[in-house]
Amino acid sequence: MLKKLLFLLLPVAGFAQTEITLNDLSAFNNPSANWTIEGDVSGNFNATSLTPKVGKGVLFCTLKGAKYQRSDDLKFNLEHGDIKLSMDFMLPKGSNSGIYLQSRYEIQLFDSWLKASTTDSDCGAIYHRWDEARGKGNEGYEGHAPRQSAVKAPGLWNHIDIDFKAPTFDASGRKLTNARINSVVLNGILIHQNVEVLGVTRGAVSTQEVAKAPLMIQGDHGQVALKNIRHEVLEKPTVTFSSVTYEYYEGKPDDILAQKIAPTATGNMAKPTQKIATAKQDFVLKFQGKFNIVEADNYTFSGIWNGVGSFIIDGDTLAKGWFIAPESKPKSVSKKMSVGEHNYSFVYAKDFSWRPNSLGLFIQKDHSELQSFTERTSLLDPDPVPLVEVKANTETQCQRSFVMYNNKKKTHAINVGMPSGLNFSYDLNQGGFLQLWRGKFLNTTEMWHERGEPQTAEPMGLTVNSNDKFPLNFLPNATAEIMDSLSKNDLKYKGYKMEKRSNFSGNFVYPNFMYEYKGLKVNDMSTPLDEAVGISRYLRFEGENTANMPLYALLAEGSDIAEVATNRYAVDNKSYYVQVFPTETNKIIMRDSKGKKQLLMPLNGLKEVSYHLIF
Amino acid sequence: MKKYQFLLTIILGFLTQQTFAQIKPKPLTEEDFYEIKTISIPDGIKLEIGGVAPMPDGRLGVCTRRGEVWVIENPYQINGTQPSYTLFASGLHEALGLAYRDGAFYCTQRGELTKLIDTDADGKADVYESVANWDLSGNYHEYSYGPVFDKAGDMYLTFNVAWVGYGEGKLAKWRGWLVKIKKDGSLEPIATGLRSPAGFTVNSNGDVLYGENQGDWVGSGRITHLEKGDFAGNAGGLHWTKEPDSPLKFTTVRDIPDTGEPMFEAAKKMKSLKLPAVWFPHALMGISTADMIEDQTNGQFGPFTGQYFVYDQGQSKAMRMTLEKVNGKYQGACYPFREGFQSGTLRARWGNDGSMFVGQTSRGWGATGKELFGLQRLVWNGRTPFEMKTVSARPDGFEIEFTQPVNKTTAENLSNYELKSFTYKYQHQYGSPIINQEDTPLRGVIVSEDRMKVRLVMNNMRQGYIHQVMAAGLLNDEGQPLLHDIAYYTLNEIPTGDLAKISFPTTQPIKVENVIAKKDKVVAKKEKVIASKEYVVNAKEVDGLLKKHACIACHNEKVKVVGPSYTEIAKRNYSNERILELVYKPEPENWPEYATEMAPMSHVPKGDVLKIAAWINSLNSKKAKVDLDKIENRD
Repeated sequence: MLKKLLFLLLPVAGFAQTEITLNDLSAFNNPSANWTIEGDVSGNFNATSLTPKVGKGVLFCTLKGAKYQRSDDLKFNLEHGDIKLSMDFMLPKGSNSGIYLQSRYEIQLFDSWLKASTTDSDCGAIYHRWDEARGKGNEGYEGHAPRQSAVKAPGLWNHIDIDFKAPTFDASGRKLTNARINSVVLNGILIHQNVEVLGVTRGAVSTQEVAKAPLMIQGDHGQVALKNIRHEVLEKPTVTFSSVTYEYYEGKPDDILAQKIAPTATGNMAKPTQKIATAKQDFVLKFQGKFNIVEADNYTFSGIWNGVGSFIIDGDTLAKGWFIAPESKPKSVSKKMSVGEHNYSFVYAKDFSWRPNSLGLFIQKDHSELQSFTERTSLLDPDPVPLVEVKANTETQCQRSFVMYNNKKKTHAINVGMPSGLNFSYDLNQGGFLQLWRGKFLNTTEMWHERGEPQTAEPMGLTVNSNDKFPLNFLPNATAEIMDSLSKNDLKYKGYKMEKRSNFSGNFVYPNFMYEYKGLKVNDMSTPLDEAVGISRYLRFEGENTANMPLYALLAEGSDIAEVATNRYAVDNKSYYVQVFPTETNKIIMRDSKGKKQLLMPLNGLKEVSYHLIF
Repeated sequence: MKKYQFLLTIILGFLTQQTFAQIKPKPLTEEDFYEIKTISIPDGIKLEIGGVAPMPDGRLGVCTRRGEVWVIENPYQINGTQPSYTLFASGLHEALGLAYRDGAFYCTQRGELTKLIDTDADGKADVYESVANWDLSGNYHEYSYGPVFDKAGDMYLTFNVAWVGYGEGKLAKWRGWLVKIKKDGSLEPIATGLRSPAGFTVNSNGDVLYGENQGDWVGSGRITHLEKGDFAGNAGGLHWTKEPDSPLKFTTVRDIPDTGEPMFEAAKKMKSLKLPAVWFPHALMGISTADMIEDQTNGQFGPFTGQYFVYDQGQSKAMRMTLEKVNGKYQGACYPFREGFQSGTLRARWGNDGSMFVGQTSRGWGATGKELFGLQRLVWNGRTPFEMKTVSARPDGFEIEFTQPVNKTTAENLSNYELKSFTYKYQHQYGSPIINQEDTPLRGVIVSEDRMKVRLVMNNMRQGYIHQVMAAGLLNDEGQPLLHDIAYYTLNEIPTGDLAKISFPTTQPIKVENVIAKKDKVVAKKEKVIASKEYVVNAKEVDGLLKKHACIACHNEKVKVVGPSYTEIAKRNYSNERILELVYKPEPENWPEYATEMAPMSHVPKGDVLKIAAWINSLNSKKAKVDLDKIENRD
């Protein structure tokens, strides 16, 4: 529903974001020596520093200088008001940085990995404000903890999306509206939405709030690496609207349009609204008004209504026809507009009662905020759909569902939620991990609300994608390709047993999946690692090798694989770690396969294999 | 108020007794014989039941659409005691069927038949064994049902087709089929042509009967006996006849005579097309056929041993079905039985005491019962209702057998019977209107010596047609009318045998139906003139019409049932003629928030529809008036 709503309110797809090139430091205003451009950085989840690699594309705060020197904060040349900002960031263990919107409002970057509950100092928080006058111990106030912890292990890349609305001021500089965090999405998890920030947060360059100011990254607290910094700066809207006249008719729309009926009411008001119509059906409402364009540009007009409508700009019919919210897509059309006054009219007719009256008309200048012709309540909000959640706080929960994976529906999938806060989805047909996540367990709204037509369940925490492949493979040799999927004849799913295991989180049962793979009886069990750093997967296999080929285990696959420590690799653009346990005779093989990197381990003479996934 | 009425009845009773020789007893209702007991559900459990499995030790297993299996101790709530719920298993994918056998539960999930075993005796399953699994496309409508065990210990399952604007089976293997899962887990395809087979059973003869829901290729709900190689009518599953293990030879939709003629005619042209044993006329009986069970209680559930109880999810009710074999094939009749369950009645299984557990759910699937889910028990109290126990076919009519002796005078009054026949179109379109309706004039009746049977001797016995047998005025010795006076017999075969000797002692046979029909026509004509004008609406008459034409099955004056309330319809200000148009040719797109599409009701006489329409529209002005009153009464 959230998606639906956003879609409705933002009828025009976002413009391409501008990327800040990181070939050098020219995008920044007088950067301190702390900041360098690197080709890559790598770390480890227990390492307190990152190691750079020469090259371009990654902005790195080395923290070479002393701590807490404000001159190390990195100011962008970019000055912004409203902005949509996204970037990847990496922190070493214990590090602390922050994204200062307008150099004043901080979204905290902090290694709060594994924190079960969050405060306003944790990663993704809207950092608190600070006032010494409040007295010792009470200086911090009005901070906002993220809805849940969503930061990855140190040394892995995180992705953050921020949608910020700057404060507004009147001509005399008096603040009209507060700054607002429209949304922050950290690693795919919505952690704030529509939060007003009543003043600057601690560490702002100034307590004076302004309409525009540079973006800034904190550079004096700890190491941080950034890349893929993209933004779309939204200008303040400039269209102004004059009052409208309206004519309201009750009766059959056809008769009214044929001018057989005199208006029931006419008048003048500041903004059009469907609330003028007192009938639920059989009426026509006509509005006529003017609006003023200050800047010539491309403008997008859009409308949502229940009924039949016709949207006319300067005598030109832009959008017309039958429309039902929220099922129908908004009508929208772009038009070049010249400076000066323009006319618009809207005819709204409705001859049925089974949807309420609703009307929203909008104008949006390219790279500017959406503005509404209509009064704020004229367009009705869609009914929110209640969340249906499965929790796994006290016991391991298994829940089968359809799972969307790489835009495909996996039909024989199971979601496993463990009380440690680690969860995974697993393809029972393939014996492969689909997703692993930390945090809340499962959103089953799309399964159990009404008919539940999608029948899909979604992770509710920090998620990493895996490869949906069964680890065991009989291969003629170590260079032979692994099949993308296995047939039911080759891999037969037999069910699972709930077995008790004892670990740091207590005594719980976990599913042990059973397979027959070409003559082998295989057990596949995953359990949380100590301190919940990740998931341990353990496969045990016995039986006759009917394939007459050596057996290998595929332990990782990704766009790239980097060894960050002995037997520890960062996989797929450093999105998770794999810890492996080779033996004297069965050594890890890193190889290329169909444009990807793979980690393979021969299993000669072995009856079991295990590996850890840490994120 | 109730008490007051009761008192009045008693007083009036005394009066009448004194004044008249005969008293007219208060008509008995369904609940005077079959009582619904509600099993309490702990707060917080969403018991959206997909399967019910009574256990030999008196406990009850139920599985839910949210994938849980609950074991309920003391479900009979003896002496008002509480049942106790234990979560036996969870996390299954939309579990719509459950069976208990040899200490384990077998549960059908969307894509898997799973055996649930508690190996460590802690009351919780720890083994979720995949007995069999099958492909799915991911379409929501690919529901899977079962298992139902046969005597050999093999299991039957049924697979819905996907819904993509029509029923489509080719998206995943064996969708639209009845399959057998053998003990070794192998899958044997048995029959296809299934659309939405939510309920099926293996009867005491080992035969599989399944219920179908109205939809594409299915003019009305029906129950079909499936044998290996049968094609039950919906084209969706035919795609898989290309497989080497298909018991049907390769067949495509082009082999189906998709002409809109009756299925009986189509079956003459297509050998594999299996006719239903019993049609359940849409809205007249039910609207969404669900579970069925055979009465094997040996009288613990009343006088219907060997018969079947068939549930309707949408109408929250149980119907009754009798079968006989004519020319080696099952056919028979359906009857109303018991209404008033709390939610959508999807599953029914016998309890150990001869009562029936009824598992219910209505989330996203509209139902008359207002609750989102429920679990109830239907208990026979030991009193015998006056019912048509069976209607069976004769070469020249039908024989009604009663549960009690019938009053001879009422039974011999030919005007107490209303007989006609009709059928449905067989076509790829969704549903069908009633077509080819004709009178089946009654020539005479023969009441048996013991007054337990009445033989109806009729003209125009129509092979392949559904015959309505209505016996409205019949009374038993206590002066009680039949608890249900209607049955629909599906006459695929007309039996051979002795014809009734026609020398009736009764009055000259009259063509009841024709007279009524003529009357109707006259009325309709009159109304044509006045229909568009306002005329006085006779609410009582309309009430009768709404009942007669089964409109009340889906619509209520004030509240949403399966379809919108009449008050809601009235708000749309359709003209009476427009309502007539919509009744004959519904436009479900006008009501997107309702799950169940309305079937065309073009068999309802125009005059009746217009009366109903005028009444519907009067609801609008009524409401306006009430509002006005309110305003006027304001201080």
